[in-house]
Amino acid sequence: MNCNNAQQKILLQSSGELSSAEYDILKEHLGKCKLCREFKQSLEEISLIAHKTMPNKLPSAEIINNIKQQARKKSLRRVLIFRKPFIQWAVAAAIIMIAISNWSLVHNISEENHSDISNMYAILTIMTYPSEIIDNENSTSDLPDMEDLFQEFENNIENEISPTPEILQSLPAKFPQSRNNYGHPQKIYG
Amino acid sequence: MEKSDQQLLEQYKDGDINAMELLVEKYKRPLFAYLFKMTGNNRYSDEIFQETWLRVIKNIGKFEQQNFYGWLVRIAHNLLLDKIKKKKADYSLDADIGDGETPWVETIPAPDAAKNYNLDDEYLAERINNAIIQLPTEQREVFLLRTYNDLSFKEIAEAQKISINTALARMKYALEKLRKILKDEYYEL
Repeated sequence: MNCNNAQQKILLQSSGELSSAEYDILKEHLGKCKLCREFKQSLEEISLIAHKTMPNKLPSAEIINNIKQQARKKSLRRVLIFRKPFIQWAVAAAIIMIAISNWSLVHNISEENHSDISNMYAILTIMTYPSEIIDNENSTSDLPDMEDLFQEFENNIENEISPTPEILQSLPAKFPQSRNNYGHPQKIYG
Repeated sequence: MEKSDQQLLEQYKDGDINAMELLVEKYKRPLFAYLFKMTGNNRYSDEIFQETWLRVIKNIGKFEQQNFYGWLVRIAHNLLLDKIKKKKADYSLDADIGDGETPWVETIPAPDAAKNYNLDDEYLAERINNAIIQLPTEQREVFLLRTYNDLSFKEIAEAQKISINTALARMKYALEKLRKILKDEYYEL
């Protein structure tokens, strides 16, 4: 190992980037080279003093505040974007929970409540359908199986209630044509 | 227990604003010291410091590396280069950087650049600060990133887009020059 190589290894050793095998070779060189020992000592001393004399200056408080303000703004925006679907699903879940809890009263539901159930169905449908499918009436994409969901409603209410035909008729118009042929109104309520 | 940079970044991505504030607090001193020593100017240091963090905040989603501070310094370094290019009128050309490479644009530190130290021996501190300022910019930057910011040579090479051997050579030349400059004041060096 020549001195140029050794001094590079000394620098790498100071930053923890030297392997133990390389360090063994370096140690051997240092044992017999006064020049490189002096270089190593200089590095240690100058680095220490320089670090101690690091300017005690800081950025202005205004700059720090600006940065923190921007961090807050950006974080808020990110959280809103990130959690938007979550909020949608949370609302949908809350509606389902409320619906389920109300089913204990379902036996007492009269014809006047039909519109409430239909509205709930409409809300659930809208909340769970991808917006791009809802927006595009010609979409032929596979849709979430709302039939099963509605069937569940149906079983629970034991056919004692039914949304008004007007509301049921109005719902399919919001969805792709293929969904209009499910025959729910006729099958369940007809 | 102090949280790692990676943990703080994840927390910030999850909406914890305090996590970013902790990162700013953690690195404000070494980063600003580096900028101040490179520009010798409070105003430029403030500007670059702010812009560095704003870019970090803006691009946080793209950050996938292990070393956050290395990334921070790389952004600061690039902004520093931009600033120097824009403010060429305020700088002079460095004709000799000692390592045989193309001369770089050298900053002229402001008169107060050496007057900020934190050592009992004020005289020695001033001498060291002046010696560092006299280093050619490229050597000074490697020296500062290594001593103030504790970056490895690999990280310095990445930040400056140079080879690790070039980073080592610049550090070696910087040390030799500092030894020479400080020889009279600090004989054991």
